[in-house]
Amino acid sequence: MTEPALQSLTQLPAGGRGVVRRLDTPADTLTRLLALGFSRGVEAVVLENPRRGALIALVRQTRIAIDRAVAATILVEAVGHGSAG
Amino acid sequence: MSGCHGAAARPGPPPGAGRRLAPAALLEPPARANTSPQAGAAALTVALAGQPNVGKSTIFNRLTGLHQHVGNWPGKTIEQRWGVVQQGRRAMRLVDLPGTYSLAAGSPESQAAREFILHERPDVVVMVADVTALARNLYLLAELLTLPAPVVLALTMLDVAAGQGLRVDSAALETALGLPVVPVAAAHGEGLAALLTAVERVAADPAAYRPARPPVPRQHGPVLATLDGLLNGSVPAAYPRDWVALKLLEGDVQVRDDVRLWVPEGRWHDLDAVLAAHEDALLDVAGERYAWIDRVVGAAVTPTRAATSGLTERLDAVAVHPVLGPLALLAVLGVVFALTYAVAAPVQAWLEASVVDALGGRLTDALAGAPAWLSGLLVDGVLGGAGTVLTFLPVLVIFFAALGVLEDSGYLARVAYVMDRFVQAMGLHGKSVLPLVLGLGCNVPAVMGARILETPSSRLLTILLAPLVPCAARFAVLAFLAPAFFGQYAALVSVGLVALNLAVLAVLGVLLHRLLFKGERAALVMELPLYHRPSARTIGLFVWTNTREFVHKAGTTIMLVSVLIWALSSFPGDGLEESVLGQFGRAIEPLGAAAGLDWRLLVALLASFLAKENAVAALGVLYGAGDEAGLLTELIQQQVPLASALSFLAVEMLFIPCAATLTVMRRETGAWRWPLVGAGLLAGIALLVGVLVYQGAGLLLALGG
Repeated sequence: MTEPALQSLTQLPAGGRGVVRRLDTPADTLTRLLALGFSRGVEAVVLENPRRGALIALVRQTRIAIDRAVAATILVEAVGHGSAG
Repeated sequence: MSGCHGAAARPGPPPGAGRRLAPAALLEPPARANTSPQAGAAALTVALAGQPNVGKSTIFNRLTGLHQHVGNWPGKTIEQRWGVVQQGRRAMRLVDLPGTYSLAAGSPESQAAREFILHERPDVVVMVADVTALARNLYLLAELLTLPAPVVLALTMLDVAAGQGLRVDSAALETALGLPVVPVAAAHGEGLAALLTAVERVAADPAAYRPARPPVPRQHGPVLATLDGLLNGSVPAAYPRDWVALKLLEGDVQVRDDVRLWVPEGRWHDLDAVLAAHEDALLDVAGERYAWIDRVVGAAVTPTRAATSGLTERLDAVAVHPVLGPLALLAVLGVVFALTYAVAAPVQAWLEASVVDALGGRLTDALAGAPAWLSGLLVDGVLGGAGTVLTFLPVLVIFFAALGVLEDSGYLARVAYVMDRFVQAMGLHGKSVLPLVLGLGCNVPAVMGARILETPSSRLLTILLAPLVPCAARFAVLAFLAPAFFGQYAALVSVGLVALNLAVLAVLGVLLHRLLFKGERAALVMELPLYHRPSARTIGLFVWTNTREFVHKAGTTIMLVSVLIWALSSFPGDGLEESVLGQFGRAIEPLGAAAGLDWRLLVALLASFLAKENAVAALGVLYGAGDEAGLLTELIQQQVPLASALSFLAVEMLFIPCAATLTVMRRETGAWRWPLVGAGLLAGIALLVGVLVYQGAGLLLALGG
């Protein structure tokens, strides 16, 4: 397996973009993420990423507030200059 | 706003006054009865489905107007609304399914929606989709298409999409999906006639309905066939077998539990083995759905320029900012309070003076020849109760209007986001903050406002904590008694007591969360919808249905409690001292001793059960001051020791919720269990705090003097 370097959504700075590669989220929360627009291969833009508390991501034209612990289970491949933060 | 329920001990309007607000036509049997008087035998049943915040309720309200019926989904605490739509000679029964992002098990909303479609088999499902996030919306459609009911798609927010630079071709969408697609602008009623026509056409010729269906992932095709074969002969008629197989593959907990009961033991082992080998199929199934959706959306939606959502971006720059966000929330709450004081308080005062007191006076005159007890029963008991209900209305209307505007505009979700980190430890949802803070006006709407919370545990916790928010009536007691007892230190004492209340609230919140819910809390995963102008219609209906429900459901109980308290404080004999309540106070005097409360202070606390500010009036009677405030101040200064006064005020602030609050707690939780648990907890905490305050103050005074 030669996977590109993945980072969690929490590691992207505000304005950073990433393509979702893995969702290691527990089943009940995963169901909600999927219904809100997440899937493998979709691009997520981080809109707010405060030091503490939930972050906000834009996925399929939907703004989603995501608990930090949940966001840490969403692994993305950074796009453009949204490099590791 | 000292008159939160100030009319309680005073005369009120005629007994029927409250009931007139709830027309009999609105109190009809629940939705499951397919025999509404307006709906003929050939009536169609149409279910309205959609994700939250897509304008579904605007469409429902437009179509049904005031002919709405509100109940609960069977076995769930979610509101169920239905109504009748007259289309030509035909009547349609329109059932508003709870807003849900998907039909996966996990939320009561999605389960209610899919159970309704499976078991009630509506003739047509109208799915409302917001075109500004069409892909996400079509995920629900992809799920609906696997259920046995034809779907008509209604598109909303086309104007917003146009403003964002998106062009939506509904004809292309119709071709790609193979089902009727109707653009609507519900706020103006546009497209609704076309929508109803499309519904009729589909219902008239179900055979012609041949929608496209999202494919299952290629690698899982054989697995589904295996599951389907294993399920053969075991699935009840209501459930399509391929749907059950797909849900099993998705790992749907509910369907898994059902299937376990349906199939023989040995077969379950086979099924379980298949499922165990495909545990992560959900990601593939969802991925395939979105791949199909992206193709459909690609065919129908064209960006005319770089897409923007300017308004939302600009407002969110402040609203979800880590520092500015909480400040903005503070400002919003300030505006709501200012409104309550500027509008509700004068209306309350007017209602009390011009309606309640005036009617009471007339009734007293009319009953001049009747026995004193009859006049007392009618004027103080019955009309007093009706007056309480009446004077609640201005506060309720403002509260629900504010809540409606905040929710409909999209701001409520931001409140939840901003407050999440502050209330996490208490297991509360960020949204809980809104009803709790607005509970400073009155606890009754705070308890009712807990409805905006999705999870039953946060709802219950909010309801249990709401009475600890000091309400306007308690502030009124504080405003009168603190200066009387503590003179120049009144402000300091008041601030301390309010802080004590909030501290108890926080500690109790953390404890209840740990003990009752074992610290479990659904992780925050929440849509922040686009902001939009709130619809006056939606808010008007929100205010109307909630206020009507309070009057209808809680009004009767409040009247009964009012009569009961009146009787307890009037019989036997003719004074509060000799009454059952007075005697009870004397009997439990030993209980109050450790907290420095004599029987008169205890009776005043008990009398405040009907309305918190009654404590002052009761003290007036018990200390022989009548309603002369100056005399009461003088008398209690002489007769109540300082440590007892402090203890009394602390207990009064924390004591059991007032009758009206308890009544709505019972309404909202469906039984007396939780209100009683809450009242018991608060009584215990209040007494404990009273003892600590009294002993502590005694010690300090001894040291100091």
